[in-house]
Amino acid sequence: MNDIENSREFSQDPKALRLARKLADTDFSVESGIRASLRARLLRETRASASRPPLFRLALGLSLAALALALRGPLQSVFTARPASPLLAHRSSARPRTAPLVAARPRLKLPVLPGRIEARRGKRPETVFQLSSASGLIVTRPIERLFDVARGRIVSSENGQATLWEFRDVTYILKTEKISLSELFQIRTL
Amino acid sequence: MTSPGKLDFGEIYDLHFAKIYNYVRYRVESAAAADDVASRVFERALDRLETFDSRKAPIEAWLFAIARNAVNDHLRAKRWLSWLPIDFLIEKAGGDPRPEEILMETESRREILEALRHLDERERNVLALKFGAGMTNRAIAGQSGLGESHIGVILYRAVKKLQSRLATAP
Repeated sequence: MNDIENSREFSQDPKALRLARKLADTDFSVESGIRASLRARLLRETRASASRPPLFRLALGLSLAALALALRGPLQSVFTARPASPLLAHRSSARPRTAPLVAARPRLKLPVLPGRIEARRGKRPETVFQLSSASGLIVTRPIERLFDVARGRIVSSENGQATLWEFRDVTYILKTEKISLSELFQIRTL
Repeated sequence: MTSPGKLDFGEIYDLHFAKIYNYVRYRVESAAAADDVASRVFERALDRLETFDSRKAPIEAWLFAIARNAVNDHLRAKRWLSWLPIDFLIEKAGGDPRPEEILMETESRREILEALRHLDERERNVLALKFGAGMTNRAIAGQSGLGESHIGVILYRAVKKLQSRLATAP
């Protein structure tokens, strides 16, 4: 209240100062209907939490972690191993797609070089945690699955070389070629 | 972080309940709402007591940060639900006179609360921090981002508004 009493506005207005003092002295908390009951409830919770042994809390934490890990594998497979939707299959059979920027350019008639490379077959290590019903302990089950990344082949063009990846019905081209300075800043539009 | 063992929650509650409740009461519409928000403040405080670090801020500032958020949450929810008739019912229930409220002091509190309803949110907040939480103008300025002299002006104007409301009250 000192800064109120010393302020220019309040010091020149005794009525306002009186009201400010009244506000400072007013205690609304006496109207609270929960003061005692809330205190009792929260202290009960504090005691209950303190009485739980640390081992119990550790076990609870470990159980939750195990559950999260057990769900990780099945959920991941739901999101990654979805069958292709019929709509996508229809679209891809009706109109072969190419990478957008490449599609705008006229297709090159590229002589095929004898060397044909295949993309590396990736091996994705995967581990699924399972709860063993017999022992109650966590056991791991490693899964080894091979999957195709893409097939690629090297082709030569007039100014350089290109690698083509044909993945489903889409062709991706990575080209290296010599260009002039004017071409460097050329903006291609579709 | 301060070890929870060093903090006695009962002691914290006893020391700060009145200030927290007063701060909340200045800002919310009814005693029932103030009870609700104040209990949320202390529930959150108990939940997060282990994260409290006395080197960063005193316990009072930490509690008021929780209280400010709880009040803001309440006001935000109230804005969304203000069309519900239950809001009116709560208001009525919270305002029902209890036997002890026949006392003059209680009447005075009710008049103040009624007059407070006519202030805007910023004025109520500054009054809540000043008279509810008992903060200095400097502390309020630090918390609100306004200048200390600006806080003094807001306080004076808010008190004058209350004064004129109380003067016209039946």
